[in-house]
Amino acid sequence: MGQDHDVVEVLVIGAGMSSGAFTWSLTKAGFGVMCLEQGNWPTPSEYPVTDDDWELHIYSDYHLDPNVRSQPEDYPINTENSPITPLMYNAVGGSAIHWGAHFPRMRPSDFRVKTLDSVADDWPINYFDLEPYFDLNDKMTGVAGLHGNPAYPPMSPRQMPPLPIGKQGSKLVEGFEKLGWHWWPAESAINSTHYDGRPPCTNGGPCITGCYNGAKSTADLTYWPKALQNGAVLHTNSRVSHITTKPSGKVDGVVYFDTSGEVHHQRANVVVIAANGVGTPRILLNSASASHPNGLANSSGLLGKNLMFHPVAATVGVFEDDLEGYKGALACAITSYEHVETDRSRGFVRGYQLQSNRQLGPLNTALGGPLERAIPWGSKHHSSFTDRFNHIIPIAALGEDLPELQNEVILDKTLTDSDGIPAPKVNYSISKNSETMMTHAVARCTDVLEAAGATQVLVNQQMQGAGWHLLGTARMGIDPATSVVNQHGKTHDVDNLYIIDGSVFVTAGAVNPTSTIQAIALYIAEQMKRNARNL
Amino acid sequence: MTNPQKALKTSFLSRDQQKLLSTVIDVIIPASNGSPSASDADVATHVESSLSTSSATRNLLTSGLQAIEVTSGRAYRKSLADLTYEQRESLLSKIESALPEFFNVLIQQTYSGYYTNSNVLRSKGIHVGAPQPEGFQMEPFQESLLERVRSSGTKYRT
Ligand SMILES: Cc1cc2nc3c(=O)[nH]c(=O)nc-3n(C[C@H](O)[C@H](O)[C@H](O)COP(=O)(O)OP(=O)(O)OC[C@H]3O[C@@H](n4cnc5c(N)ncnc54)[C@H](O)[C@@H]3O)c2cc1C
Repeated sequence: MGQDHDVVEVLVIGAGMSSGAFTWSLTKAGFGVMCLEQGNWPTPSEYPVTDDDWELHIYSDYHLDPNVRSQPEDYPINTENSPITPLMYNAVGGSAIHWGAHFPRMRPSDFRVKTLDSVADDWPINYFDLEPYFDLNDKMTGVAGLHGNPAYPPMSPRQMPPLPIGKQGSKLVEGFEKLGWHWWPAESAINSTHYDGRPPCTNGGPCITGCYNGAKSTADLTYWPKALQNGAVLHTNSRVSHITTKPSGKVDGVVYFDTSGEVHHQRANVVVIAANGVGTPRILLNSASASHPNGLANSSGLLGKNLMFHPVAATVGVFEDDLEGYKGALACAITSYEHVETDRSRGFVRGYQLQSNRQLGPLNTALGGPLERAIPWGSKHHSSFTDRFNHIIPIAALGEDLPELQNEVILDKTLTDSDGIPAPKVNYSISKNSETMMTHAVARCTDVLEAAGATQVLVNQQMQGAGWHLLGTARMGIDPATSVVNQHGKTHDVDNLYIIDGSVFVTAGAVNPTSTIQAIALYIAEQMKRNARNL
Repeated sequence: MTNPQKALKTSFLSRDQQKLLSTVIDVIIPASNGSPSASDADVATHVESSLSTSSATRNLLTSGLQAIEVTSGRAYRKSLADLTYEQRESLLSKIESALPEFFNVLIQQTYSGYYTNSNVLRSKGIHVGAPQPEGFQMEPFQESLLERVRSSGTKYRT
């Protein structure tokens, strides 16, 4: 490794969830790591959850969509060709500042869909390869949950007991029990007791505007303080425009802008990208050079392709009872894996997860919440509001999106961010398989809500604001012709360039991905340590 | 909550337009069962100030209001304010179909102002105040609920 103090050993782009885990692991083993993050450190005292007008912020400066939020650290995304809007947050801790912290692992069959179901591709690694890293990540994160879920192989003990499921959860359980379906209390990256210096959740919600109390686990609270103690160097307000290459084709550093717009070149022996499934292909496509004309690490032509989101069908059951929907963590109560494995008689392959949600506040209820349609105005307005507020159970059916070449992230021809860096454009359409799957999911959610006693079930079969999970745009594989990185996260084309975020997913599974993203980041860090001599 | 100081500075509607806006938002959310109407909850000020930020949003509001008066004049030879509630409601339904962008923004801003007003929330018996840091008491999860699921056998493929 180079001794030049101007050259860092490992440079990581982005300080979100994957980066936090990875940087902690490498610095613990004594590696020198510098991280460049375009956003700031989040300031929990500024999260709007402690303000009376907290709900207004969800529609303005804390909007989940960066195009609407439009803060200085955000970059625009052209979404005109996508029925699902990609969502993200740009800060230390990454998109998790807004996340629901539902923390299931991907399941064993998710890594072997070609072998089991003759679709897409198998991963070059499997659930059991990742298991030690899932366990380590759970310990670092703190998971509230319950051992013994029959939808998974036996797992290590959870760190804390499950979060309360509340009246909504208990009601929904009645439906699952009547139908004899699988359900389980959510795996939650939210403290139910004191853990690792952070307090238990006070059941206030709403989680997606940032957690003031710090009960919700995010990398700025878990991994980053420990990584900094290990000696990691983290520069915020530093936006990477592109990665630079030597004539040999290896990378030798990155070019970035600081807040004043000044350009810097930071040299590095190894570059690691952790900018998420949209940000990562954007940087690599913008790093095209004579030796890499189609973008860096893109000899396969697959960089930016196979974007997967997880299509979401939202159903909302309306009940006569007051279910106190304002109490509790927004996205962590009941999960069902009844329909997650392939059953070809349903007319589609793979499956979907059911995740019960809470309601947000009165404003979100009036604007329709996951239904994305406001409640009626006019003479029926008040009765519609009263029928719904505290009387609903929303369920999100989250489907396994299959990788498809036409779903992609490319560079927009004209749109740029405030530093003039080309913005990404997303071209995406819902596949026939996903559409059939979501129709099935809506019918089954209706079944369970009615079994639980719903008097009415409202449906939004294709949620637009559901682009929470950004996956697949630099897929992992053994064959350089059909993948961007190898089974160790190293790009096939460039020996000293790695990708560690959700871009490397070969397939998407039907669960929220971050537990798996972070386990992969820890796994790649371990491979790098083992191969340190060859870096 | 709308800051009256800020709202004053960002006012761009004429008095007549402000009156019309109040009439319109009271069709959207009328008073009912102890809950105030939208204009009684100061929502007109909220709508005006939220749409004051760019010339595009200002124009959207003023041209939408104008379209309402023109349509009302054509249909009834009267101003919206002189119609019955049912007539106002049916007229706004026409505007909703004809000018969906304007109407969506109007609904969004009317609901935003209304459902973040503490008098409104109190009138509906809704907990007023921030969700954190205090939060709420909840019963712990009862493991006995899982008896059936636990004994139902594994549900995964490797
Ligand atoms: C509203 C919402 C709810 C969610 N809920 C859940 C949930 O319940 N469960 C779950 O598993 N997942 C959830 N997610 C997804 C989860 O947040 C992501 O999977 C996770 O954060 C991805 O980690 P990452 O490291 O890949 O990317 P991120 O966490 O997005 O981090 C990427 C970082 O890179 C930085 N970056 C990007 N480009 C550059 C550049 N050019 N220069 C410098 N820095 C750059 C960004 O600023 C950002 O901080 C949710 C997401 C959202 C938006």
